[in-house]
Amino acid sequence: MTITTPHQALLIFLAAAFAQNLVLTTGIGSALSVRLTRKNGNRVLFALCLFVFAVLTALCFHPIDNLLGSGEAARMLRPLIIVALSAVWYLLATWVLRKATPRVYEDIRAVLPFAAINTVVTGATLIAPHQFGESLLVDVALSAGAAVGFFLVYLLLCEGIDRMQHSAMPKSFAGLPALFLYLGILALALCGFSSDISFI
Amino acid sequence: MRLRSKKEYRTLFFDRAFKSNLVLVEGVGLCPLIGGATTLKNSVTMFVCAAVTLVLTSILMLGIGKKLPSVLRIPVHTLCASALLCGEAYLLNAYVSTELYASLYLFLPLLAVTTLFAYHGDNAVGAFDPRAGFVDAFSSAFGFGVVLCLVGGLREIVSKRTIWDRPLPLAVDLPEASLPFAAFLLLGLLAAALQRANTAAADRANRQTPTMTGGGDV
Repeated sequence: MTITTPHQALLIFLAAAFAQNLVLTTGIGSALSVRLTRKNGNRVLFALCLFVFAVLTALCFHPIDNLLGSGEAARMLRPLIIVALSAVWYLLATWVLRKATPRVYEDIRAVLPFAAINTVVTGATLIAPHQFGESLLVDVALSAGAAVGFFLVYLLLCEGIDRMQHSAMPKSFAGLPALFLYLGILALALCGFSSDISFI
Repeated sequence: MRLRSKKEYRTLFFDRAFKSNLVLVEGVGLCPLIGGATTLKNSVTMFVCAAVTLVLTSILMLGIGKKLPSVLRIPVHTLCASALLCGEAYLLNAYVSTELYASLYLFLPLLAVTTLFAYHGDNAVGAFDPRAGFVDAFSSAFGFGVVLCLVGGLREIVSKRTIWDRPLPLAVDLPEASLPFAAFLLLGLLAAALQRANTAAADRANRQTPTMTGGGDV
């Protein structure tokens, strides 16, 4: 389906972020959210960085994708170009943050590469032209929705992680196994919100 | 780390592939597993691609990783992995199966940007000599592949009543098993089983240690 109107792009955004959360319905970004949940750090700053990287990558990828066309070679090269774009944005962000706000850079330097180069940024940028046709609005809406959806799942996992270490939890299930089951139940709950929009 | 004996290599392989399995203990590389591992064929394809890419990029990073500024390591590692996976996708499409390529079109390239590569590339630099690095990368990929095949095979059996496209005489019919929630639940159960096995092994080792020390004293 080719989507071009702002109304339809908004639907894509809402689906990716909430009703058909991209992390829970495709698994994109699930490992990143699990790993970050088990580490301490500035969650909001990380999510903000990921949002900015996702939108910037989608914005830059669109004109390049138009130049590439829709042939077999373009399909093969798309992922490599998206990763290269993410890497460029990461290096630019590192350079700018180091010069402009060294304190902020020190806070996020360990997680900055993971905010720029990850399955959420690459996956959302790759899904948009494949599933919804060529539209800048949709590219940006899907990337932004994916980033917001990632943040929501990340918050839910952070909320649940203490309960998963609770002493009443069977030893074999404490920690990561319970986290996987928790994600499974959340993903199962979202199955009830299926619609015409399909990400994979 | 420089490993000398065969036993040390065996221990490294067993540890990386099973005991400290990257997926079930560290929770990395989930995206292709959740979305892509819906059949055994998909899983084996992703395993082969991941193993080739992880081994080659790890060897490359062991060679040049120390010379690169730390800020460049993850981008270089990911770009190399992505370029290799582009080539593997081309070979898969041209020489193996167009259908298989179509079903993995999204998830094969995403292997390069999963936490499996970022985590492994970042940790391996400077930690091993090239031979141990090769064993470390291969065993990590093997552990990833075992989980991929278990999840993909089980989902195929339950959702399609086939294994490697061959029909099975089963009464179970649950097409929903190919949805992501089933993979999360399966991973939870597999991770719990591994956690239990690791705890039991540690308990056994703890029980044996005093006895052995006592025997030595006598």
